[in-house]
Amino acid sequence: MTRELDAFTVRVTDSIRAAMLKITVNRYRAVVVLDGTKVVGTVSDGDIRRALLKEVLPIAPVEKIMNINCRTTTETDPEKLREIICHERVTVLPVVNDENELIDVALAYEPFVDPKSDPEEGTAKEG
Amino acid sequence: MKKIVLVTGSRGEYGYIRPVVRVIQRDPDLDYSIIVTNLHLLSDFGFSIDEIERDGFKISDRIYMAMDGYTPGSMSKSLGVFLMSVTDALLRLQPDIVLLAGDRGEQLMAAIAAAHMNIPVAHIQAGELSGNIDGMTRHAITRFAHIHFASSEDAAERLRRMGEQEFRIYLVGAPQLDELVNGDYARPEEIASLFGLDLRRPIVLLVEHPVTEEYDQTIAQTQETLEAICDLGLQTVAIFPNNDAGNMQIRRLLDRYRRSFMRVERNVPRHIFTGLMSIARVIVGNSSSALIEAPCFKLAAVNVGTRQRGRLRGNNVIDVKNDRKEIKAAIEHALSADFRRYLQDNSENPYLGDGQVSQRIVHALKGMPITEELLKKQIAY
Repeated sequence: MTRELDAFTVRVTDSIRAAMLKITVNRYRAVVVLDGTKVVGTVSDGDIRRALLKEVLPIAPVEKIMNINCRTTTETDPEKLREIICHERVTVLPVVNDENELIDVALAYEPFVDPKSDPEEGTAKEG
Repeated sequence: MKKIVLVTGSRGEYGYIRPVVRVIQRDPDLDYSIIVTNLHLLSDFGFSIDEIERDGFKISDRIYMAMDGYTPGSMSKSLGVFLMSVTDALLRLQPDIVLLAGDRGEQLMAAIAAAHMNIPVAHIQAGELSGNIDGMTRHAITRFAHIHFASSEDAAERLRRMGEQEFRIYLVGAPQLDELVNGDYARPEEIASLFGLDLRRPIVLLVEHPVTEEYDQTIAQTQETLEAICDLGLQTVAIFPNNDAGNMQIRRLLDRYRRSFMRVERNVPRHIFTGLMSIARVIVGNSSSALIEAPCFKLAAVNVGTRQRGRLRGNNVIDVKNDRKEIKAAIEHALSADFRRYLQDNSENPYLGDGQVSQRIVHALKGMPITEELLKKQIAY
């Protein structure tokens, strides 16, 4: 279940644009927001879309728009994680310890990879 | 047709006016619009204007007023911005009545603007005692308001003693209780799903706002509460504070103290918040909802610090200082079988609420002739 966590995290002070880039690269439609090592929220492409429609600037910090009532779990059993992901309908589920520090992310599915796409240019299909 | 303009800038007072607006909406002889401002327009607080839009209400103006920084000075400057903007809005809207609610600064600014423009001001939740700057603001609104809607005899009597003429005072009750009395709040299963809660175990609802006069103690005070919460380790749903000076410190602490048993939310729609109250075993913090709405659910309340000092309260409220040991002991007492039984048998709401309060407010506004006597206030003493 362990993934390269950097692709799934942004810092609370990072910009919305930085989160958009991470989401484009990781292809899972969301990233986890960290304050140090602690999980303080998630940002999905839907959160970003809604914020932009409300004229929030992409240079604003993700803190302004993140979902702070995000689902986290202390569960590590892969089967149970899959159940939680299905039940919660999330693509990225932060796995935390009792202190709410991120130890892993559980993912909903294997992303669709378009061999012609260039994630850096933001053309990846994100489902 | 009478046109009523309402102003809302915070979650709490939107709860006061929503049932009233619903009654106005249904009345063919009345027109209305809402000026939305302050916290409702801020992403940091969850864009609560979305809820007003979802409710299908007419919003005539969106007035940005909150200066970032959230210090006592920035609060004052923000109110100045709103006073100028709301004056322009009222000049354009030309209402017959401005209907205000509660004790927030933007309500006072609207009262000042309307009174100077010779527009009658009606005030919901007038005459109550509450602590800190909000209490001063409420009574300042009274001075500018022409009609006072009181939620209890205690509040009505205070208005009389403040020198308000008898014909201006209507003892109607608390309109925010209408929806609760009528069962208009989210069901337990919906709340449990939304916050990942186990309904079989105790749930703590935490709402702690900054206290403006104690701005420099905000961090220390909030830490005391959060230490108690973390020590108990019960499922907890914490809602962000309002945007008064000191809110940023509280938000930072909520991030720092967050544990796997805590859920934190910027803002929740009114029916979700009251749904949370319906399933919580105790509400902790310093929100007025612990005093006014919680008794409807026989919900125990641990009221921390001075913010609600002097306010009318029922026997569901346990008052404590900003001290982790006191707070923890009070929560444990609130959760005890004895206290629950006591509340089931004895809890009454000191605020009047029979499900018809909004009707009475609208009836009064509709029948009120706008005369010189109404507009030219005299202090009775």
